[in-house]
Amino acid sequence: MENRVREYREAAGWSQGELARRLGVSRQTINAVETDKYDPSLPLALRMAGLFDLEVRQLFIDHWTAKE
Amino acid sequence: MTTQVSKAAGWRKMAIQAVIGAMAGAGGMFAGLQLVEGQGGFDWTGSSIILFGIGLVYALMGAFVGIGTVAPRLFGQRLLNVADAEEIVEERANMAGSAVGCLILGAAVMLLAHAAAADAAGSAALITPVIAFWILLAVLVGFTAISVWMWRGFDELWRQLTVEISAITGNLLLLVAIIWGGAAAVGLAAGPHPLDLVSIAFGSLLFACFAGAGWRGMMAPR
Repeated sequence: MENRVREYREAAGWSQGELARRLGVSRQTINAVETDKYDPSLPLALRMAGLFDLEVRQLFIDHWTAKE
Repeated sequence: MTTQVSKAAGWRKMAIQAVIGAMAGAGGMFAGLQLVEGQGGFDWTGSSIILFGIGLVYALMGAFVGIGTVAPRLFGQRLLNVADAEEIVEERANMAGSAVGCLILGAAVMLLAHAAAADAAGSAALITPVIAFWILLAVLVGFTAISVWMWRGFDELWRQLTVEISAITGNLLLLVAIIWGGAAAVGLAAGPHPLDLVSIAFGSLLFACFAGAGWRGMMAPR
């Protein structure tokens, strides 16, 4: 799933380590999310969005469309 | 431009790590076999050499991670696939647990391979195969305890990765057991030597660790 975590993290002036510390996860998790290798759980996605003061859909972009 | 430079540096670091790993593996295998052969001068069977080699890979991984964890700035950031030394400091508890576990497990596997090879050749070994087996069993219990302790400190990515590694290992074992066992049953292939079963189990876990980590982007240069 496409996401804009790196963009918002860099805009906040945080390193991957700093974001990981604030979220209570490992730096590898932040790296895997930013490189689209791992989709975070709903609780972590909510925490990430909350940290950047965003809605989850602004941070994680799903191109899925409902079938007619 | 900066991204291109950092990517090139990442690949260069990875190439150096691969060369060091290959040299350590080849050198370790040669030295290890020379050392244990010197104890009795017997011929190793193919199955025992394979098991010894797999044990050596575990031991070397444990040694590299251990050295990197003890000296993150001097060795860790160069030897291990991390962004910087701070990352090792952050993950020190987990990495130290992995290093100790792999090192001891690898040594126990090599010991079993040596004891079984010596026994098959009718030579005196450092210890009997039965003692080597009990040591391996005791080490496995310890390895499981370390894994459970580490699991409690894992975040969601590491827990997901552990589940995926277990699934890959299980499926590999299923495939090998069905294909090799079936082929041996109908006379298309020779049945596995007992040591082969131990090699397949530890080899599958090793492969699954690399495959799982690669799938989650952890093998990419950083």
